[in-house]
Amino acid sequence: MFRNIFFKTLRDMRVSLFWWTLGMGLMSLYMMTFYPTIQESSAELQEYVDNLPDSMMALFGGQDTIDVSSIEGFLSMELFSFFYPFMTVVFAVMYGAGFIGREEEDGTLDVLLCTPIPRWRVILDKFAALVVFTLGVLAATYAGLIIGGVAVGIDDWDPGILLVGTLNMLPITLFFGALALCLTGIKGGRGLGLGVGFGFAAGSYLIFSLGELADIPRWLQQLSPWYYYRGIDVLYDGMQAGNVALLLGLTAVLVALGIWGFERRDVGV
Amino acid sequence: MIIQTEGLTKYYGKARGIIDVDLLVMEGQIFGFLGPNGAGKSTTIRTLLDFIRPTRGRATVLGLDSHRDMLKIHARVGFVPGELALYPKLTGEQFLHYMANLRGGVDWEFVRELADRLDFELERKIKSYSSGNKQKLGLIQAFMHKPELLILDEPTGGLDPLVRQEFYALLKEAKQAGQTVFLSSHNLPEVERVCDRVGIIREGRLIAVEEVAALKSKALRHLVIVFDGPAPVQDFINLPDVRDVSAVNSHLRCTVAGTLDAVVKQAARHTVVNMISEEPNLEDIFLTFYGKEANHVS
Ligand SMILES: Nc1ncnc2c1ncn2[C@@H]1O[C@H](COP(=O)(O)OP(=O)(O)OP(=O)(O)O)[C@@H](O)[C@H]1O
Ligand SMILES: [Mg+2]
Repeated sequence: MFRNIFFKTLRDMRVSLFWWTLGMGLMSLYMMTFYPTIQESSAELQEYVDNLPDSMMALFGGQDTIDVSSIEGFLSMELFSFFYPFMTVVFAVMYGAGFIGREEEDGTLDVLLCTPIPRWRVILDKFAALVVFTLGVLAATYAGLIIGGVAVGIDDWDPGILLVGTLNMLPITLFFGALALCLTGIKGGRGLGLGVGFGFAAGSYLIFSLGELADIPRWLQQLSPWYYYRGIDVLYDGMQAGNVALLLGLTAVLVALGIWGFERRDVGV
Repeated sequence: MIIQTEGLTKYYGKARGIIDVDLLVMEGQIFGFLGPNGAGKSTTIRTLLDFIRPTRGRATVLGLDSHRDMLKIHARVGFVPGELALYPKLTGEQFLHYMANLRGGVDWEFVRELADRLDFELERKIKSYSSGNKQKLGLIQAFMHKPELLILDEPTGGLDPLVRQEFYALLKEAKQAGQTVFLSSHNLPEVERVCDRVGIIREGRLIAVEEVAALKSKALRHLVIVFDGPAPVQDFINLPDVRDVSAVNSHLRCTVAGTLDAVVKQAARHTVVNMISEEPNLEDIFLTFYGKEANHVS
Protein backbone atom coordinates (compact mmCIF):
# COMPACT_ATOMS: atom_id res chain seq x y z
CA MET A 1 0.00 0.00 0.00
CA PHE A 2 2.99 2.26 0.39
CA ARG A 3 4.68 1.06 -2.75
CA ASN A 4 4.15 4.34 -4.58
CA ILE A 5 2.06 7.50 -4.60
CA PHE A 6 -0.77 5.84 -6.51
CA PHE A 7 -1.35 3.12 -3.93
CA LYS A 8 -0.78 5.45 -1.00
CA THR A 9 -3.40 7.83 -2.43
CA LEU A 10 -5.87 4.98 -2.90
CA ARG A 11 -5.23 3.90 0.65
CA ASP A 12 -5.95 7.42 1.88
CA MET A 13 -9.24 7.20 -0.02
CA ARG A 14 -10.36 3.87 1.31
CA VAL A 15 -12.77 5.02 3.99
CA SER A 16 -14.26 7.59 1.68
CA LEU A 17 -14.53 4.99 -1.08
CA PHE A 18 -16.40 2.69 1.29
CA TRP A 19 -19.01 5.32 2.07
CA TRP A 20 -19.38 6.52 -1.49
CA THR A 21 -19.85 3.00 -2.86
CA LEU A 22 -22.28 2.20 -0.06
CA GLY A 23 -24.23 5.41 -0.59
CA MET A 24 -24.44 5.23 -4.36
CA GLY A 25 -25.09 1.49 -4.31
CA LEU A 26 -27.94 1.81 -1.81
CA MET A 27 -29.37 4.79 -3.64
CA SER A 28 -29.47 2.80 -6.88
CA LEU A 29 -31.02 -0.13 -5.10
CA TYR A 30 -33.64 2.09 -3.56
CA MET A 31 -34.54 3.78 -6.85
CA MET A 32 -34.94 0.43 -8.61
CA THR A 33 -37.20 -0.97 -5.94
CA PHE A 34 -39.18 2.23 -6.20
CA TYR A 35 -39.71 1.79 -9.93
CA PRO A 36 -42.68 -0.67 -9.93
CA THR A 37 -44.72 1.80 -7.88
CA ILE A 38 -43.92 4.46 -10.43
CA GLN A 39 -44.97 2.20 -13.25
CA GLU A 40 -48.35 1.51 -11.64
CA SER A 41 -49.16 5.15 -11.23
CA SER A 42 -47.60 6.03 -14.53
CA ALA A 43 -50.59 7.85 -15.91
CA GLU A 44 -50.72 10.28 -13.01
CA LEU A 45 -46.98 10.70 -13.04
CA GLN A 46 -46.91 11.42 -16.75
CA GLU A 47 -49.60 14.00 -16.19
CA TYR A 48 -47.63 15.53 -13.35
CA VAL A 49 -44.50 15.64 -15.44
CA ASP A 50 -46.36 17.12 -18.39
CA ASN A 51 -47.71 19.85 -16.15
CA LEU A 52 -44.36 20.83 -14.72
CA PRO A 53 -43.24 24.25 -15.88
CA ASP A 54 -40.84 23.89 -18.78
CA SER A 55 -38.06 25.55 -16.82
CA MET A 56 -38.35 22.99 -14.03
CA MET A 57 -38.30 20.19 -16.52
CA ALA A 58 -35.28 21.60 -18.21
CA LEU A 59 -33.45 22.11 -14.96
CA PHE A 60 -33.97 18.51 -13.99
CA GLY A 61 -32.73 17.43 -17.36
CA GLY A 62 -36.11 16.31 -18.55
CA GLN A 63 -37.59 16.41 -21.99
CA ASP A 64 -41.23 16.31 -23.00
CA THR A 65 -40.58 13.31 -25.14
CA ILE A 66 -39.41 11.15 -22.26
CA ASP A 67 -41.73 8.38 -21.15
CA VAL A 68 -41.18 8.31 -17.41
CA SER A 69 -43.00 5.01 -16.99
CA SER A 70 -40.32 3.14 -18.92
CA ILE A 71 -37.29 2.09 -16.94
CA GLU A 72 -35.00 4.06 -19.24
CA GLY A 73 -37.10 7.19 -18.95
CA PHE A 74 -37.34 6.84 -15.20
CA LEU A 75 -33.61 6.35 -14.63
CA SER A 76 -32.66 9.01 -17.15
CA MET A 77 -34.74 11.64 -15.44
CA GLU A 78 -34.24 10.62 -11.86
CA LEU A 79 -30.60 9.62 -11.82
CA PHE A 80 -28.50 10.05 -14.94
CA SER A 81 -29.61 13.45 -16.17
CA PHE A 82 -28.05 15.35 -13.31
CA PHE A 83 -28.41 13.80 -9.85
CA TYR A 84 -25.79 11.08 -10.18
CA PRO A 85 -23.21 13.01 -12.18
CA PHE A 86 -23.54 15.85 -9.68
CA MET A 87 -22.71 13.43 -6.90
CA THR A 88 -19.66 12.08 -8.67
CA VAL A 89 -18.53 15.57 -9.66
CA VAL A 90 -18.61 16.50 -5.96
CA PHE A 91 -15.96 13.97 -4.98
CA ALA A 92 -14.01 14.52 -8.18
CA VAL A 93 -13.66 18.26 -7.53
CA MET A 94 -12.85 17.74 -3.86
CA TYR A 95 -10.16 15.20 -4.63
CA GLY A 96 -8.92 17.08 -7.68
CA ALA A 97 -8.37 20.20 -5.61
CA GLY A 98 -7.08 18.24 -2.62
CA PHE A 99 -4.41 16.09 -4.24
CA ILE A 100 -1.84 18.85 -4.43
CA GLY A 101 -3.79 21.48 -2.50
CA ARG A 102 -4.11 19.53 0.73
CA GLU A 103 -0.50 18.36 0.80
CA GLU A 104 0.65 21.87 0.07
CA GLU A 105 -1.53 23.45 2.76
CA ASP A 106 -0.56 20.78 5.28
CA GLY A 107 3.11 21.15 4.36
CA THR A 108 3.61 17.44 3.62
CA LEU A 109 4.61 18.28 0.05
CA ASP A 110 8.15 19.02 1.30
CA VAL A 111 8.87 15.47 2.43
CA LEU A 112 7.12 14.06 -0.63
CA LEU A 113 8.98 16.21 -3.14
CA CYS A 114 12.39 15.81 -1.54
CA THR A 115 12.35 12.23 -2.83
CA PRO A 116 13.55 11.57 -6.39
CA ILE A 117 9.96 11.48 -7.64
CA PRO A 118 9.23 14.00 -10.40
CA ARG A 119 6.38 16.39 -9.87
CA TRP A 120 4.54 15.10 -12.94
CA ARG A 121 4.55 11.64 -11.41
CA VAL A 122 2.87 12.98 -8.28
CA ILE A 123 0.05 14.41 -10.36
CA LEU A 124 -0.36 11.38 -12.62
CA ASP A 125 -0.35 8.90 -9.73
CA LYS A 126 -2.93 10.86 -7.82
CA PHE A 127 -5.13 11.37 -10.84
CA ALA A 128 -4.93 7.66 -11.62
CA ALA A 129 -6.18 7.02 -8.08
CA LEU A 130 -9.17 9.25 -8.82
CA VAL A 131 -9.92 7.22 -11.96
CA VAL A 132 -9.93 4.02 -9.91
CA PHE A 133 -12.02 5.65 -7.18
CA THR A 134 -14.59 6.79 -9.75
CA LEU A 135 -14.72 3.37 -11.37
CA GLY A 136 -15.27 1.84 -7.94
CA VAL A 137 -18.18 4.16 -7.20
CA LEU A 138 -19.68 3.55 -10.64
CA ALA A 139 -19.34 -0.21 -10.24
CA ALA A 140 -21.25 -0.02 -6.94
CA THR A 141 -23.84 2.21 -8.59
CA TYR A 142 -24.35 -0.29 -11.38
CA ALA A 143 -24.44 -3.22 -8.94
CA GLY A 144 -27.17 -1.42 -6.99
CA LEU A 145 -29.24 -0.94 -10.14
CA ILE A 146 -28.91 -4.57 -11.18
CA ILE A 147 -29.54 -6.07 -7.75
CA GLY A 148 -32.51 -3.78 -7.25
CA GLY A 149 -33.93 -4.60 -10.69
CA VAL A 150 -33.60 -8.33 -10.16
CA ALA A 151 -35.03 -8.10 -6.65
CA VAL A 152 -38.27 -6.47 -7.76
CA GLY A 153 -38.46 -8.59 -10.90
CA ILE A 154 -38.19 -5.95 -13.60
CA ASP A 155 -38.27 -7.76 -16.92
CA ASP A 156 -38.64 -5.17 -19.66
CA TRP A 157 -35.12 -3.84 -19.32
CA ASP A 158 -31.69 -4.05 -20.88
CA PRO A 159 -29.00 -4.31 -18.16
CA GLY A 160 -26.36 -3.63 -20.79
CA ILE A 161 -27.62 -0.15 -21.56
CA LEU A 162 -27.68 0.66 -17.84
CA LEU A 163 -23.99 -0.17 -17.75
CA VAL A 164 -23.44 2.21 -20.64
CA GLY A 165 -25.42 4.90 -18.83
CA THR A 166 -23.40 4.39 -15.67
CA LEU A 167 -20.05 4.41 -17.45
CA ASN A 168 -21.07 7.53 -19.32
CA MET A 169 -20.57 9.42 -16.06
CA LEU A 170 -16.86 8.65 -16.06
CA PRO A 171 -15.71 11.26 -18.62
CA ILE A 172 -17.64 14.18 -17.13
CA THR A 173 -16.54 13.24 -13.60
CA LEU A 174 -12.89 13.05 -14.60
CA PHE A 175 -13.21 16.29 -16.53
CA PHE A 176 -14.23 18.28 -13.45
CA GLY A 177 -11.70 16.46 -11.29
CA ALA A 178 -9.00 17.37 -13.80
CA LEU A 179 -10.18 20.98 -13.86
CA ALA A 180 -9.78 21.32 -10.10
CA LEU A 181 -6.44 19.49 -10.18
CA CYS A 182 -5.20 21.69 -13.01
CA LEU A 183 -5.94 24.87 -11.09
CA THR A 184 -4.17 23.72 -7.92
CA GLY A 185 -1.29 22.60 -10.09
CA ILE A 186 -0.96 26.04 -11.59
CA LYS A 187 -1.74 28.17 -8.57
CA GLY A 188 -1.54 26.25 -5.30
CA GLY A 189 -4.06 26.18 -2.48
CA ARG A 190 -7.39 24.40 -2.62
CA GLY A 191 -9.62 27.46 -2.80
CA LEU A 192 -9.31 28.17 -6.49
CA GLY A 193 -9.78 24.55 -7.54
CA LEU A 194 -12.81 24.07 -5.30
CA GLY A 195 -14.40 27.39 -6.21
CA VAL A 196 -13.91 27.23 -9.93
CA GLY A 197 -14.55 23.48 -10.02
CA PHE A 198 -17.94 23.67 -8.31
CA GLY A 199 -18.81 27.05 -9.78
CA PHE A 200 -18.14 25.96 -13.32
CA ALA A 201 -19.91 22.62 -12.82
CA ALA A 202 -23.07 24.36 -11.64
CA GLY A 203 -22.90 27.35 -14.00
CA SER A 204 -22.20 25.34 -17.08
CA TYR A 205 -25.03 22.97 -16.16
CA LEU A 206 -27.45 25.88 -16.04
CA ILE A 207 -26.27 27.16 -19.40
CA PHE A 208 -26.73 23.75 -20.92
CA SER A 209 -30.00 22.73 -19.28
CA LEU A 210 -31.80 26.04 -19.70
CA GLY A 211 -30.23 26.64 -23.07
CA GLU A 212 -33.27 26.03 -25.25
CA LEU A 213 -35.72 27.83 -22.98
CA ALA A 214 -33.65 30.88 -22.29
CA ASP A 215 -32.56 31.30 -25.89
CA ILE A 216 -28.95 30.79 -24.95
CA PRO A 217 -27.07 30.62 -28.24
CA ARG A 218 -26.00 27.16 -29.23
CA TRP A 219 -22.30 27.98 -29.33
CA LEU A 220 -22.51 28.99 -25.70
CA GLN A 221 -24.26 25.77 -24.79
CA GLN A 222 -21.53 23.96 -26.63
CA LEU A 223 -19.00 25.49 -24.29
CA SER A 224 -20.66 23.62 -21.45
CA PRO A 225 -19.16 20.19 -20.75
CA TRP A 226 -22.67 18.99 -19.91
CA TYR A 227 -23.59 19.45 -23.55
CA TYR A 228 -21.38 16.45 -24.28
CA TYR A 229 -22.53 14.40 -21.32
CA ARG A 230 -26.09 13.74 -22.56
CA GLY A 231 -27.25 11.75 -19.55
CA ILE A 232 -30.85 12.07 -20.68
CA ASP A 233 -30.27 10.39 -24.04
CA VAL A 234 -27.65 7.85 -23.19
CA LEU A 235 -30.06 5.06 -22.24
CA TYR A 236 -31.65 5.42 -25.64
CA ASP A 237 -28.79 6.28 -27.95
CA GLY A 238 -25.81 4.80 -26.10
CA MET A 239 -22.54 6.68 -25.64
CA GLN A 240 -21.44 8.94 -28.48
CA ALA A 241 -17.81 8.25 -29.23
CA GLY A 242 -17.22 11.86 -30.24
CA ASN A 243 -18.56 13.26 -26.97
CA VAL A 244 -16.63 10.80 -24.87
CA ALA A 245 -13.44 11.47 -26.79
CA LEU A 246 -13.92 15.22 -26.42
CA LEU A 247 -14.43 15.08 -22.64
CA LEU A 248 -11.57 12.65 -22.10
CA GLY A 249 -9.37 14.68 -24.43
CA LEU A 250 -10.10 17.85 -22.47
CA THR A 251 -9.42 15.93 -19.28
CA ALA A 252 -6.00 14.94 -20.59
CA VAL A 253 -5.30 18.53 -21.62
CA LEU A 254 -6.25 19.81 -18.16
CA VAL A 255 -4.05 17.25 -16.43
CA ALA A 256 -1.18 18.18 -18.75
CA LEU A 257 -1.74 21.87 -18.03
CA GLY A 258 -1.75 21.13 -14.31
CA ILE A 259 1.55 19.30 -14.65
CA TRP A 260 3.01 22.13 -16.68
CA GLY A 261 2.00 24.66 -14.02
CA PHE A 262 3.13 22.52 -11.12
CA GLU A 263 6.54 21.84 -12.66
CA ARG A 264 7.31 25.49 -13.09
CA ARG A 265 5.99 27.10 -9.93
CA ASP A 266 7.29 27.52 -6.37
CA VAL A 267 5.75 25.06 -3.95
CA GLY A 268 4.75 25.73 -0.38
CA VAL A 269 5.02 29.53 -0.53
CA MET B 1 32.35 21.41 -3.99
CA ILE B 2 29.14 20.04 -2.54
CA ILE B 3 27.10 23.21 -2.51
CA GLN B 4 27.88 26.32 -4.50
CA THR B 5 25.63 29.30 -4.99
CA GLU B 6 26.33 32.39 -7.04
CA GLY B 7 24.38 35.55 -6.40
CA LEU B 8 21.45 33.47 -5.25
CA THR B 9 18.52 35.82 -4.78
CA LYS B 10 14.89 35.16 -4.00
CA TYR B 11 12.10 37.66 -3.70
CA TYR B 12 8.61 36.55 -2.73
CA GLY B 13 6.80 39.09 -4.84
CA LYS B 14 8.21 42.27 -3.35
CA ALA B 15 9.17 40.64 -0.05
CA ARG B 16 12.85 39.93 0.49
CA GLY B 17 13.79 36.28 0.85
CA ILE B 18 17.55 36.20 0.27
CA ILE B 19 19.85 38.56 -1.60
CA ASP B 20 23.06 37.68 -3.46
CA VAL B 21 24.01 34.69 -1.38
CA ASP B 22 27.38 33.23 -2.42
CA LEU B 23 27.90 30.04 -0.54
CA LEU B 24 30.55 27.34 -0.73
CA VAL B 25 30.30 24.09 1.16
CA MET B 26 33.15 21.64 0.85
CA GLU B 27 32.89 17.88 0.83
CA GLY B 28 32.93 16.17 4.21
CA GLN B 29 32.21 19.34 6.16
CA ILE B 30 29.56 19.99 8.68
CA PHE B 31 28.49 23.44 7.62
CA GLY B 32 26.40 25.49 10.01
CA PHE B 33 24.00 28.02 8.55
CA LEU B 34 23.32 30.44 11.33
CA GLY B 35 20.81 33.24 11.41
CA PRO B 36 17.93 34.68 13.40
CA ASN B 37 14.28 34.12 12.51
CA GLY B 38 13.37 35.36 9.07
CA ALA B 39 17.01 35.66 7.99
CA GLY B 40 16.52 33.47 4.94
CA LYS B 41 17.80 30.06 6.02
CA SER B 42 14.77 28.12 4.86
CA THR B 43 14.56 30.18 1.70
CA THR B 44 18.13 29.27 0.79
CA ILE B 45 17.56 25.60 1.55
CA ARG B 46 14.30 25.37 -0.37
CA THR B 47 16.01 26.98 -3.35
CA LEU B 48 18.83 24.42 -3.21
CA LEU B 49 16.20 21.66 -3.38
CA ASP B 50 14.33 23.38 -6.22
CA PHE B 51 11.10 23.73 -4.23
CA ILE B 52 11.31 27.40 -5.05
CA ARG B 53 13.05 29.02 -8.00
CA PRO B 54 15.55 31.82 -7.53
CA THR B 55 14.72 35.29 -8.78
CA ARG B 56 18.39 35.65 -9.77
CA GLY B 57 21.56 33.64 -9.49
CA ARG B 58 22.14 29.94 -9.53
CA ALA B 59 23.06 27.03 -7.34
CA THR B 60 24.78 23.71 -7.83
CA VAL B 61 24.44 20.84 -5.42
CA LEU B 62 26.79 17.85 -5.65
CA GLY B 63 28.06 19.45 -8.82
CA LEU B 64 24.60 19.33 -10.40
CA ASP B 65 22.38 22.21 -11.43
CA SER B 66 19.78 22.72 -8.72
CA HIS B 67 16.94 23.05 -11.20
CA ARG B 68 17.84 20.95 -14.20
CA ASP B 69 19.18 17.98 -12.25
CA MET B 70 16.76 18.29 -9.35
CA LEU B 71 15.81 14.61 -9.29
CA LYS B 72 19.40 13.39 -9.29
CA ILE B 73 20.08 15.75 -6.42
CA HIS B 74 17.05 14.58 -4.47
CA ALA B 75 18.18 10.98 -4.83
CA ARG B 76 21.48 11.80 -3.13
CA VAL B 77 20.25 14.21 -0.45
CA GLY B 78 18.50 13.67 2.87
CA PHE B 79 16.31 16.54 4.00
CA VAL B 80 14.56 17.65 7.16
CA PRO B 81 12.25 20.58 6.42
CA GLY B 82 12.17 23.57 8.74
CA GLU B 83 8.47 23.19 9.24
CA LEU B 84 8.19 19.46 9.35
CA ALA B 85 4.75 18.15 8.39
CA LEU B 86 4.00 14.44 8.16
CA TYR B 87 0.95 12.33 7.35
CA PRO B 88 -0.95 12.20 10.65
CA LYS B 89 -2.90 9.04 9.86
CA LEU B 90 0.10 6.86 9.07
CA THR B 91 2.21 5.17 11.71
CA GLY B 92 5.87 6.09 11.89
CA GLU B 93 6.74 2.78 10.31
CA GLN B 94 4.27 3.19 7.44
CA PHE B 95 5.59 6.65 6.74
CA LEU B 96 9.16 5.40 6.61
CA HIS B 97 8.15 2.52 4.34
CA TYR B 98 6.51 5.02 2.02
CA MET B 99 9.59 7.25 1.95
CA ALA B 100 11.87 4.23 1.54
CA ASN B 101 9.82 2.98 -1.40
CA LEU B 102 9.82 6.35 -3.10
CA ARG B 103 13.59 6.53 -2.68
CA GLY B 104 14.59 2.92 -3.14
CA GLY B 105 17.71 1.29 -1.73
CA VAL B 106 16.99 1.73 1.96
CA ASP B 107 18.38 -0.82 4.37
CA TRP B 108 15.62 -1.50 6.88
CA GLU B 109 18.09 -2.75 9.46
CA PHE B 110 19.63 0.68 9.48
CA VAL B 111 16.21 2.28 9.94
CA ARG B 112 15.64 0.14 13.03
CA GLU B 113 19.06 1.05 14.32
CA LEU B 114 18.34 4.76 13.88
CA ALA B 115 14.97 4.38 15.62
CA ASP B 116 16.63 2.54 18.51
CA ARG B 117 19.32 5.12 18.91
CA LEU B 118 16.87 7.99 18.90
CA ASP B 119 14.63 6.05 21.27
CA PHE B 120 11.76 6.20 18.81
CA GLU B 121 8.73 3.90 18.72
CA LEU B 122 7.91 3.11 15.11
CA GLU B 123 4.46 1.60 15.57
CA ARG B 124 2.39 4.54 16.71
CA LYS B 125 0.26 6.84 14.61
CA ILE B 126 2.01 10.04 13.66
CA LYS B 127 -0.74 12.23 15.07
CA SER B 128 -0.13 10.69 18.50
CA TYR B 129 3.58 11.59 18.53
CA SER B 130 4.81 14.57 20.47
CA SER B 131 6.54 17.24 18.40
CA GLY B 132 9.95 15.96 19.49
CA ASN B 133 9.05 12.48 18.34
CA LYS B 134 7.83 13.80 15.01
CA GLN B 135 11.17 15.52 14.67
CA LYS B 136 12.92 12.20 15.26
CA LEU B 137 10.88 10.69 12.47
CA GLY B 138 11.99 13.54 10.23
CA LEU B 139 15.61 12.77 11.12
CA ILE B 140 15.30 9.03 10.51
CA GLN B 141 13.71 9.78 7.15
CA ALA B 142 16.64 12.02 6.23
CA PHE B 143 19.39 9.66 7.39
CA MET B 144 17.94 6.32 6.35
CA HIS B 145 19.30 6.13 2.81
CA LYS B 146 22.78 7.27 3.87
CA PRO B 147 22.74 10.25 1.53
CA GLU B 148 25.91 12.00 0.41
CA LEU B 149 24.49 15.29 1.62
CA LEU B 150 22.24 15.97 4.58
CA ILE B 151 20.32 19.22 4.45
CA LEU B 152 18.81 19.82 7.86
CA ASP B 153 16.69 22.89 8.48
CA GLU B 154 16.70 23.58 12.23
CA PRO B 155 16.53 19.87 13.04
CA THR B 156 16.97 20.01 16.82
CA GLY B 157 13.91 22.05 17.75
CA GLY B 158 11.81 20.04 20.19
CA LEU B 159 14.46 17.41 20.87
CA ASP B 160 15.34 16.88 24.51
CA PRO B 161 19.02 17.11 25.55
CA LEU B 162 19.65 13.37 25.53
CA VAL B 163 18.28 12.89 22.05
CA ARG B 164 20.15 15.96 20.93
CA GLN B 165 23.39 14.30 22.06
CA GLU B 166 22.52 11.23 20.06
CA PHE B 167 21.78 13.39 17.06
CA TYR B 168 25.17 15.09 17.39
CA ALA B 169 26.75 11.63 17.51
CA LEU B 170 24.92 10.73 14.30
CA LEU B 171 26.27 13.88 12.67
CA LYS B 172 29.78 12.97 13.72
CA GLU B 173 29.44 9.48 12.29
CA ALA B 174 28.00 10.87 9.08
CA LYS B 175 31.03 13.07 8.77
CA GLN B 176 33.37 10.15 9.42
CA ALA B 177 31.55 8.21 6.72
CA GLY B 178 32.31 11.04 4.31
CA GLN B 179 28.82 12.55 4.22
CA THR B 180 28.48 16.31 4.08
CA VAL B 181 26.06 18.13 6.36
CA PHE B 182 24.39 21.48 5.82
CA LEU B 183 22.68 22.41 9.06
CA SER B 184 20.68 25.54 9.70
CA SER B 185 20.23 26.79 13.21
CA HIS B 186 19.71 29.90 15.26
CA ASN B 187 21.50 28.37 18.17
CA LEU B 188 25.15 29.46 18.36
CA PRO B 189 26.36 26.93 20.97
CA GLU B 190 24.92 24.13 18.90
CA VAL B 191 26.66 25.31 15.77
CA GLU B 192 29.92 25.83 17.67
CA ARG B 193 29.67 22.37 19.02
CA VAL B 194 29.02 20.37 15.86
CA CYS B 195 30.12 22.43 12.88
CA ASP B 196 33.41 22.93 11.10
CA ARG B 197 32.46 26.08 9.28
CA VAL B 198 29.69 28.53 9.81
CA GLY B 199 27.89 30.88 7.45
CA ILE B 200 26.03 33.70 9.09
CA ILE B 201 22.97 35.04 7.36
CA ARG B 202 21.09 38.10 8.39
CA GLU B 203 18.24 39.91 6.71
CA GLY B 204 18.70 37.83 3.60
CA ARG B 205 22.42 38.41 3.19
CA LEU B 206 25.30 36.12 3.97
CA ILE B 207 27.38 38.42 6.16
CA ALA B 208 30.23 36.15 7.14
CA VAL B 209 31.64 32.68 6.68
CA GLU B 210 34.02 31.60 9.40
CA GLU B 211 35.83 28.60 10.74
CA VAL B 212 34.17 27.67 14.00
CA ALA B 213 37.43 28.31 15.85
CA ALA B 214 37.42 31.91 14.67
CA LEU B 215 33.84 32.34 15.65
CA LYS B 216 34.54 31.03 19.12
CA SER B 217 37.26 33.57 19.63
CA LYS B 218 34.73 36.25 18.86
CA ALA B 219 31.98 34.80 20.96
CA LEU B 220 30.57 36.96 23.69
CA ARG B 221 29.69 35.36 26.96
CA HIS B 222 27.77 36.84 29.83
CA LEU B 223 29.39 35.68 33.03
CA VAL B 224 28.22 35.84 36.62
CA ILE B 225 30.72 34.99 39.37
CA VAL B 226 29.55 34.65 42.96
CA PHE B 227 32.25 35.18 45.62
CA ASP B 228 32.11 34.37 49.32
CA GLY B 229 32.50 38.08 50.11
CA PRO B 230 32.01 41.39 48.28
CA ALA B 231 32.85 41.04 44.59
CA PRO B 232 36.40 42.31 43.80
CA VAL B 233 35.30 44.52 40.92
CA GLN B 234 38.64 46.32 40.61
CA ASP B 235 40.47 43.10 39.74
CA PHE B 236 38.33 42.60 36.67
CA ILE B 237 37.81 46.04 35.20
CA ASN B 238 41.14 46.17 33.45
CA LEU B 239 41.32 42.63 32.17
CA PRO B 240 41.65 42.38 28.40
CA ASP B 241 38.48 41.39 26.50
CA VAL B 242 36.33 41.91 29.57
CA ARG B 243 33.68 44.59 29.58
CA ASP B 244 30.47 45.73 31.22
CA VAL B 245 31.77 44.79 34.64
CA SER B 246 29.31 45.46 37.44
CA ALA B 247 28.72 44.08 40.91
CA VAL B 248 25.94 43.72 43.43
CA ASN B 249 27.20 42.45 46.79
CA SER B 250 28.93 39.16 46.13
CA HIS B 251 27.72 38.87 42.50
CA LEU B 252 30.01 40.06 39.77
CA ARG B 253 28.65 40.40 36.29
CA CYS B 254 30.66 40.90 33.11
CA THR B 255 30.80 40.22 29.41
CA VAL B 256 33.76 38.36 27.98
CA ALA B 257 34.84 38.26 24.36
CA GLY B 258 36.77 35.15 23.40
CA THR B 259 38.06 32.71 25.98
CA LEU B 260 37.28 32.80 29.68
CA ASP B 261 40.88 32.02 30.59
CA ALA B 262 41.95 35.39 31.97
CA VAL B 263 38.76 35.84 33.98
CA VAL B 264 38.94 32.38 35.49
CA LYS B 265 42.54 32.87 36.53
CA GLN B 266 41.76 36.20 38.10
CA ALA B 267 38.73 34.79 39.90
CA ALA B 268 40.75 31.87 41.21
CA ARG B 269 42.68 34.28 43.42
CA HIS B 270 39.50 34.63 45.49
CA THR B 271 37.03 32.13 46.88
CA VAL B 272 34.49 31.40 44.18
CA VAL B 273 31.09 30.10 45.28
CA ASN B 274 29.48 29.81 41.87
CA MET B 275 30.11 30.68 38.27
CA ILE B 276 27.39 30.97 35.66
CA SER B 277 28.15 31.43 31.98
CA GLU B 278 25.17 32.34 29.86
CA GLU B 279 25.09 31.11 26.32
CA PRO B 280 26.12 33.83 23.95
CA ASN B 281 23.36 35.29 21.97
CA LEU B 282 23.38 35.66 18.26
CA GLU B 283 22.27 39.25 18.19
CA ASP B 284 25.20 40.15 20.49
CA ILE B 285 27.63 38.68 18.03
CA PHE B 286 26.06 40.52 15.16
CA LEU B 287 26.13 43.80 16.98
CA THR B 288 29.60 43.51 18.40
CA PHE B 289 31.46 42.13 15.46
CA TYR B 290 29.55 42.99 12.38
CA GLY B 291 28.20 46.26 13.63
CA LYS B 292 24.92 47.89 12.85
CA GLU B 293 26.08 48.15 9.26
CA ALA B 294 26.08 44.41 8.95
CA ASN B 295 22.95 44.43 6.89
CA HIS B 296 24.60 46.60 4.28
CA VAL B 297 27.63 44.39 3.85
CA SER B 298 27.24 41.89 1.08
N1 LIG C 1 6.01 32.44 1.25
C1 LIG C 1 6.54 33.62 1.58
N2 LIG C 1 5.97 34.77 1.18
C2 LIG C 1 6.50 35.96 1.50
N3 LIG C 1 7.61 36.11 2.23
C3 LIG C 1 8.22 35.02 2.68
C4 LIG C 1 7.73 33.71 2.38
N4 LIG C 1 8.55 32.80 2.95
C5 LIG C 1 9.51 33.51 3.58
N5 LIG C 1 9.32 34.85 3.41
C6 LIG C 1 10.17 35.92 3.93
O1 LIG C 1 11.50 35.63 3.58
C7 LIG C 1 12.37 35.91 4.65
C8 LIG C 1 13.21 34.70 4.97
O2 LIG C 1 12.38 33.69 5.49
P1 LIG C 1 12.92 32.26 5.86
O3 LIG C 1 11.75 31.40 6.14
O4 LIG C 1 13.86 31.83 4.82
O5 LIG C 1 13.70 32.56 7.21
P2 LIG C 1 14.45 31.56 8.19
O6 LIG C 1 15.84 32.03 8.30
O7 LIG C 1 14.23 30.18 7.77
O8 LIG C 1 13.69 31.86 9.56
P3 LIG C 1 13.28 30.88 10.75
O9 LIG C 1 14.44 30.79 11.67
O10 LIG C 1 12.15 31.59 11.39
O11 LIG C 1 12.89 29.58 10.16
C9 LIG C 1 11.50 36.36 5.80
O12 LIG C 1 11.58 37.76 5.89
C10 LIG C 1 10.12 35.95 5.43
O13 LIG C 1 9.18 36.88 5.88
MG1 LIG D 1 13.23 28.51 8.59
